Amino acid sequence: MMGRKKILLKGKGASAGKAEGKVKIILDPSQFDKMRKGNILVTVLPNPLFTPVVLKASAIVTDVGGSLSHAAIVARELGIPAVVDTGKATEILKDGMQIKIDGEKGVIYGE
Amino acid sequence: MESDLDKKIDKFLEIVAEIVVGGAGKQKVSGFELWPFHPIQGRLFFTKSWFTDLLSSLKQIDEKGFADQKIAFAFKAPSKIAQLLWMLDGIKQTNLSIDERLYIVERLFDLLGIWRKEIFCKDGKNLILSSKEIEELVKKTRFIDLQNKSRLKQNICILESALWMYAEMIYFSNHPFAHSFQGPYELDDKILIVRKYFDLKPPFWSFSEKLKFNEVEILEIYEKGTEIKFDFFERGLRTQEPYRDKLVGVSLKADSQVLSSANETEKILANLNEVIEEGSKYIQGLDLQDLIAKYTSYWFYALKPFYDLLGKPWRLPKEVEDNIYRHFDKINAIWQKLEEERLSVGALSMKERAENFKKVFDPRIG
Repeated sequence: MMGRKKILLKGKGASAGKAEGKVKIILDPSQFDKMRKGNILVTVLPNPLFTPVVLKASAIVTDVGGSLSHAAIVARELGIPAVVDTGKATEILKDGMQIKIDGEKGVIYGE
Repeated sequence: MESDLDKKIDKFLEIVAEIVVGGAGKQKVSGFELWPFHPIQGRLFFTKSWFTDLLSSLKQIDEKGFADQKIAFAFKAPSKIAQLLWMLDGIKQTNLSIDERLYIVERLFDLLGIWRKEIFCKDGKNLILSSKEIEELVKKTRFIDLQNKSRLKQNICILESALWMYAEMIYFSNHPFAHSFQGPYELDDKILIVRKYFDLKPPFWSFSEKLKFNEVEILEIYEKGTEIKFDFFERGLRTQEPYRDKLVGVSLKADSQVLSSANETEKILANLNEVIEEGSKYIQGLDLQDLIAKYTSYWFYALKPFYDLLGKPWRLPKEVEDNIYRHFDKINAIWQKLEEERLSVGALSMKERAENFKKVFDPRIG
């Protein structure tokens, strides 16, 4: 569990709910192997190629996209939180960071 | 006085403008990295032939006197007919007269009206079945109560997400060619949603052969009051609120096989994941010409129901193949100019963009 938390990033809440977990930044399919079940998927904009990693994610954070984007629709179908259109999640967040996301407010917290 | 057709076209243009400006227009098209071209770029190679084919098919069908119901039901779902109307932004590239354009649009609206109670999905409702049909459907269906079945419930959610992503993988931005989302239907104290996935093994994707089913039907029961909405194109659930917790019952069929356990759903999920993995690798290995050829194939495949009714074998026109493989550079050069125009539209205000899209899609002008 996280201790004192601060806002790391803000985006658009695309699928409500809260999740906490380790960041995995996945930019292309060559990085799929590092994703573990329960990780938070952080990417630019997932496309159907990302299906295997999306299905392992406990939440999704993207740099771009809107509430009708692929990531948002899939997250709502899976019932997991998503924050989209953060602008720079793949730059600011780092692999292994423990974060908490609020998919309703569109906020990403960290220590 | 405005005709009924004019009113329908105006309504359709409102819907398109809202979708393009309010949603899809703000972001890259989903699947763009997998399909590394813009849909309009891809359509340059076949729009003219496609509309010629559509017009000729509709005319032949009408000359033969097929009933509208038979034509409409030859398409497996309304989504497949609605999706054809996405092509209207290219109708001005053709030599069709305004009368011919309006004939096409009117006939597609007619066919949609056979399926839907209200063709534009007013209030987010895509209602196909009557109250009596719903009553009968509920009576004959054995729904699984998902209370205390969290594994099965989770599998259903994963399966639906995976099917949606698979549809997007094989049909790119036109994934409603492979699915239809219908409802919500009011039951006594619940609501019913019908999801159908079809044409999952189209002949132009060899990897899809390995899929052990071609169609999936999922009937979902949600708690009363769950807000679930659909749009004209049935592109997905248009709901922002979380709704998965409110899923309380389900009935699932893959082709004609009823699946009722977590183990059974895991088996088809494993098969689907395997095909998705193989398919994505295959698609990544295609060059731009081959990808555009695939994109073209499924747009013509969407017209196959007409071919079937007319007893003609479905095929991709020779001139389209030539466009892709013999005149690629010449046609692709047009895209560079169009892309500049398209980007300049992005600088307009939302209202101006909406008006611009309405003009682009309007078959009555230009």
